[in-house]
Amino acid sequence: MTENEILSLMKSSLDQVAPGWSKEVKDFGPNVKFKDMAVDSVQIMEMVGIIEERCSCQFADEDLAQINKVGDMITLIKKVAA
Amino acid sequence: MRKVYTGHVPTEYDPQWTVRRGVEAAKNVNPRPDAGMRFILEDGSDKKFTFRELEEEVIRRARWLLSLGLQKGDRVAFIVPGPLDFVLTFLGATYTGIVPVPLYPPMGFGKLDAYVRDTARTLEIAKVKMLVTQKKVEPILWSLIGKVSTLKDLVCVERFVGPAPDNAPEPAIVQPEDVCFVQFTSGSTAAPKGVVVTHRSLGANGYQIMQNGLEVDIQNDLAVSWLPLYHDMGLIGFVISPLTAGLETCFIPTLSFIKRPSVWMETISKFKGTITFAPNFAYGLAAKRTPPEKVKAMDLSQLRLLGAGAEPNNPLTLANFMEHFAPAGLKPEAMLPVYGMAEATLAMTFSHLDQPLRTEVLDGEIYATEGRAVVVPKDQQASRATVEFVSCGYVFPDHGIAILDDNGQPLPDRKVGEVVFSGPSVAAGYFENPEATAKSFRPDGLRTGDLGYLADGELFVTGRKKDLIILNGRNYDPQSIEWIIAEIPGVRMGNVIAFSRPGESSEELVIVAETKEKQDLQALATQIREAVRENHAMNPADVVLLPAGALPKTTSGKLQRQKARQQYIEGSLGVEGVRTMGERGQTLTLAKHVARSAMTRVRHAVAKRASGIFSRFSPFNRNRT
Repeated sequence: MTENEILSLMKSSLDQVAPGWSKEVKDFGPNVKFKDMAVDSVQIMEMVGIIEERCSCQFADEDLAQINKVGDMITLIKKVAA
Repeated sequence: MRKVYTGHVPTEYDPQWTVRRGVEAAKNVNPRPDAGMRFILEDGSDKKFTFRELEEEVIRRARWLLSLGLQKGDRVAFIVPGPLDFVLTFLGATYTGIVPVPLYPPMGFGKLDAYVRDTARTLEIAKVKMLVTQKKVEPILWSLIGKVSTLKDLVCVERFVGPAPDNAPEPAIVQPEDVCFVQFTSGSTAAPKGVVVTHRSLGANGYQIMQNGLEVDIQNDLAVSWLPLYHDMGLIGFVISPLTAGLETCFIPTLSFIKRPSVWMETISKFKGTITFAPNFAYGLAAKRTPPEKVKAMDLSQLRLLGAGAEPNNPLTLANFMEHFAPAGLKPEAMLPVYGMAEATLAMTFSHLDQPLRTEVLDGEIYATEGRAVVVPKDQQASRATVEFVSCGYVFPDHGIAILDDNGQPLPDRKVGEVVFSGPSVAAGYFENPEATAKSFRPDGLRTGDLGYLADGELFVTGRKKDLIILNGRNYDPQSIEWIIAEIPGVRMGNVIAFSRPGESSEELVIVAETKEKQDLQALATQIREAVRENHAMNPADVVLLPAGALPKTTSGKLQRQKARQQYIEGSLGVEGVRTMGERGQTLTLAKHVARSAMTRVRHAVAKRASGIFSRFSPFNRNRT
């Protein structure tokens, strides 16, 4: 998956968790921090669950714990869902 | 008085109960030889321990812990994400009197600096000697060593392979009055408090929950839980209480549920679960993320009790859940509100099993001015200001609930005051905190900090004492004001806080709300003032409108009223901590869309039937996040 494909996967997953999410978001890129996105921790883990389902993969808890930015998630998806 | 609904005959209460006695007895108490604990693993497979196997495993782990030099009375931090290893090692420790201090694992995204800081602060207060964890989070936790003065070592449960070393001491003898574990409240406060729970209070509360609350039938009942095990509802409700009765349990990893919420009801369907508990938000999440085709494939007809606690309950969310899963045969009467807190070990009151969601509609004027609960007949409800509360049920036998005024004097039936709980379930106090202990744990009972009233033994919890807004001698619950404002388009639902500030002659009302983007703020403020005037006949002294993300919330997304009030008075509200995004600092309006959209749908669906009720009852553990 390319970076853009992963970004749109994350966007559509967040839209599923929080309908209308992507319409509110102008700047969504690798440097954005998850803590600045006004989504709560449960919604972020819901997003992870949806991505796991769509990619038929599973992320390790300890890898998720080290994620801060959208770019970290992109790197993890590239690694696991390759 | 509590009634019995299932023809259940309570077993005999064992005042000498300890975890060890529970572990030893379970295999004999439950007549089914295959009964025990089942653990769903992350990959979806499962591993079961019969109660006989469980006892062996618990002793094996107890001896491993002892072989590390730990002794009875030593406090040990438990940061173990997997239910199997958490439960078995926790029971091993408490079997021999080692005192676990369970804490939440570093799960979810980032925030590791804050996590390590909060955890270190708690462990310093708890004076833990060792940290028990799992390999997968070990690398993150090493940084705690050196930050906690008493913490000398870290051990991973993966080390406990095979029989314990030969030189491991035999498990110590534990007395009922010995400390079983220390349950810490929120890690994000400056001075977290640890509730000291003894084997005896656990035995007492577990017995009441099982025998008088749930009326368990150990031949047929199976409890299923995804609740975190570092919280009392998961740990006491589903590990320790079931052990007092020999009840079968099945554990799902918490993160598995959050990622794939359908796994909760799927597991109940697969293993024929009969009892489960969850906070309100989880009922919303499960309904939203379990598609109808999955529901159709389930059989939930045997699920007889769905406990609801841990946060204020929204009857509409619960009703939507029941409706969503009805095609799977879920019984509408299965929903069961409960009331409790860590200081009471866990539970204080349980609703009657046949009438779980009972509410009372009260005269709003009399409630606000006199603090009296006067029921308004149905045909008059439309023409009067009313407030509505959900029944929390009845106190357990051998325990007491009293309603006291500010001077500690008992109040008559239907008069609102502080809920005070007494009996053998009350915990032993806060860990090494005599000041806080003396304040809450009084000779005549536990001061809960909750407000409520009794009606012929039935408890209705109305709010939190410290959040109460008193204006001109009238009492207002902040929620009743906040919920009205949350209905206004332009206001971000669920993001309103009402509190009072000191005024010139008396307290004044302040409303703080987060707004959606591109709003006419002037017009919105006017609308808010009008809504408050119309519904509560008072004028807010100040209406503060803020962008999304400006209100202080706990890590689990609950509004922090006291913190908002403090920030407002200090002048720092909305100045710092606004969650923005991107280089241009564009504010997002997002957060609780999920809950909101589900709520809106339910509201439309049930508005007529439910006459728009939106009420609540007091949560389990409301003092934690």
